[in-house]
Amino acid sequence: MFSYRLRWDLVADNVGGLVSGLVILLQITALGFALAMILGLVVAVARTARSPLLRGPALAYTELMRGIPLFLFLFLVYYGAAQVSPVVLSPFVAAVLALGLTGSGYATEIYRGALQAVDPGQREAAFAMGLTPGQAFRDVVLPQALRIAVPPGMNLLVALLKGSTFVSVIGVADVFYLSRIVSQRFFAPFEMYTVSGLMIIAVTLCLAGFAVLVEKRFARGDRTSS
Amino acid sequence: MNLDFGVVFSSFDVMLRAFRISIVVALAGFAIALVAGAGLALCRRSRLRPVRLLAFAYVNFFRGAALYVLIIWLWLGLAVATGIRIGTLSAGILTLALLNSAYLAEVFRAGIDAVDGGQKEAALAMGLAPGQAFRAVVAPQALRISLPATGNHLVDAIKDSAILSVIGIPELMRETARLAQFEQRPFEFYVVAAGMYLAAVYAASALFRFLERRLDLDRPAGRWSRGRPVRSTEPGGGRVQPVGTALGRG
Amino acid sequence: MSDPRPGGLLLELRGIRKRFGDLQVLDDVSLSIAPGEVVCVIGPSGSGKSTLLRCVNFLTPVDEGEVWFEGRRIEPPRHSSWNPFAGRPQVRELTRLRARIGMVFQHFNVFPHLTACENVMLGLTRVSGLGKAEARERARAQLERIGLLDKADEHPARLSGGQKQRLAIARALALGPTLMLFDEATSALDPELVGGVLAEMRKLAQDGMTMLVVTHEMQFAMEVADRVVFMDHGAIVEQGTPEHFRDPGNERTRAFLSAIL
Repeated sequence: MFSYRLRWDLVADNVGGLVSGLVILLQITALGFALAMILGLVVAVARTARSPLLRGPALAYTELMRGIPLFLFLFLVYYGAAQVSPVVLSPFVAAVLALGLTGSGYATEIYRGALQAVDPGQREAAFAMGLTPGQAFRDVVLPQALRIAVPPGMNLLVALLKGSTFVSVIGVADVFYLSRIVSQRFFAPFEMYTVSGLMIIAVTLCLAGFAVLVEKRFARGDRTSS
Repeated sequence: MNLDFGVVFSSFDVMLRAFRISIVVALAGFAIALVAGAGLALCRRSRLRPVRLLAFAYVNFFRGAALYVLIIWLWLGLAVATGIRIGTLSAGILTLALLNSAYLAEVFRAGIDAVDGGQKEAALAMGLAPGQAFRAVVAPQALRISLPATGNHLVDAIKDSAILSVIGIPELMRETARLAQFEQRPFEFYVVAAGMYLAAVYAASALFRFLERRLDLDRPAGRWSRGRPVRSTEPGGGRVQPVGTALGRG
Repeated sequence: MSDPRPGGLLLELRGIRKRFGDLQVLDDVSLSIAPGEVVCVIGPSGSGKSTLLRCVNFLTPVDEGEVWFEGRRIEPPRHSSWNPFAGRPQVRELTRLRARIGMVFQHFNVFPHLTACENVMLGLTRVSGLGKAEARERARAQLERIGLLDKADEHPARLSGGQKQRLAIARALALGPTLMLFDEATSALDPELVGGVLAEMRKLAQDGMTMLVVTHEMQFAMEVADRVVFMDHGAIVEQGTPEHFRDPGNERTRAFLSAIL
């Protein structure tokens, strides 16, 4: 069964490359997540607006972003953008955009749920003391909604990390890109993919642990409703 | 910028055939996952500690795994190293089943936990054996509660099937990429393929919304019309969202 | 902003109508309050008394009728379901008026993400436009007045229901309102905590604050009110001095009072 000779030395030779590849993945995840959370907030505000002119497009946007496979969207952004616009995106930027746009669809729903979960009495109290709608949103509703959004936001971060694992298909030089190159040159797919897979699992576990910590921190004390 | 969707339509039959493979793979993997997930959920409630622990380990490992990582490790790494030969189609279905069974096990477990404890007690008090009580009273209610989350996972499975292209299954994503490169029209081809995935996703969520209405315990004419109203544990009232709540699970 | 009509009314509601769906919650209600007056509104639940209170500062927009405050008519914001920017000028005007009308809610609605001190400061910095330091000083003075100074840096989750409600009163008073609205301010409190809040309200009344109080506390209404208003089915059935209500003329009022006393 094992006609295959294990060559762990290849892994050892490429430790530096693997680590920098992982760092690229983490950068893409972090930037994509930041983009998703910022864009998501904007769309969520439109999604919860009074006017159908804002609500309709916001709804269409989230449905679109959540209905298209990220894997396909990656190709659409990278190759499609180059075809229809003079802008040529680097694989890295395309990956961040694809992750961020797809993620923003989910982030919108997270924010929307969180905004709706804030007791309507809070907004009323803010209005009753003479705050403008903008102030009521910024000073009273949003800070409370953000706390509620933390646990699902952490889940989104983990989902985006998983999504970032396949950005090498458009040529981002991450761990899996390196794994593929080394595997093809020296025929050592098992060793390289095992190590890169374990690296991802380690990061996922760290993130999951961090998520639990953050959740505990936010579940404490001041979150209970008044 | 000049777009030409004519090229896409002349290859439309190829894409439709590939789309059918995508759907078959996703549905097959999901069907296996439904059965395995139910089994795993039961294992997690087993009286035997080792069974519980194994199921726990399985569920948490695969819930944490990214599909892309798993698939290339299994079929480009492990299978090559051990010399196992297996068709790409089976490999794809199996991988989807592995991941989704873990997700569904968790969904079903939460569903069972959400059924009011009084239901089981009432069934036992009537003289039903524990097994009977579970099958006749708890399981149907748990199933109903699990419906929305199950629908979301089906939606995700359909989207995830695009990742299976990396091991060479001639499904929609792979064929689209091939055609897009050949015709030098990536934008048009990917947009049309995205439309196909959207259609499938909408069909799946519509199916689950229909099932939910049919099995609605609050409705007087529902199948379990005399059951107590069961509220889903899902946030947002437990309706299936038009598209999945989890990102393509990579 | 002073009353342009000396000796005039502080608040005047004229022919207020409001319906929610098929339910006529307020049916041609008119009520006026002079400066310094304490008016208690009583009545069975669902009689529309809370809605009436919320119509004063347009938390619930009225369908018909006029609200006059300090001699000026409050214009309801005309929101458009298409134009997201419609109603902006009225909202600004409304905002200015709301700052002069303090409101205390049944469920406190103190801000859980802010400390007690910050709860009071928020209006001072945002509405009155004070600097942080001055706002803090004033907020602490308010907290001291209601005996919550030692809780200044606590979040509301650490306060009892009665303390939260007193905090809510302090938050409203900090802005120097000319009218205070109380919407069943003690209904959500445990019985042993009601007294403290009522004492605060009594003190306020003695200091000459104009108050419109929706309450179930008959004892309080009888002692503190200058005028008692009895509402039922969305209309004012009877109003008069507390003495008058010891022997009310109307049959429905009599039935209500004998049921709750």
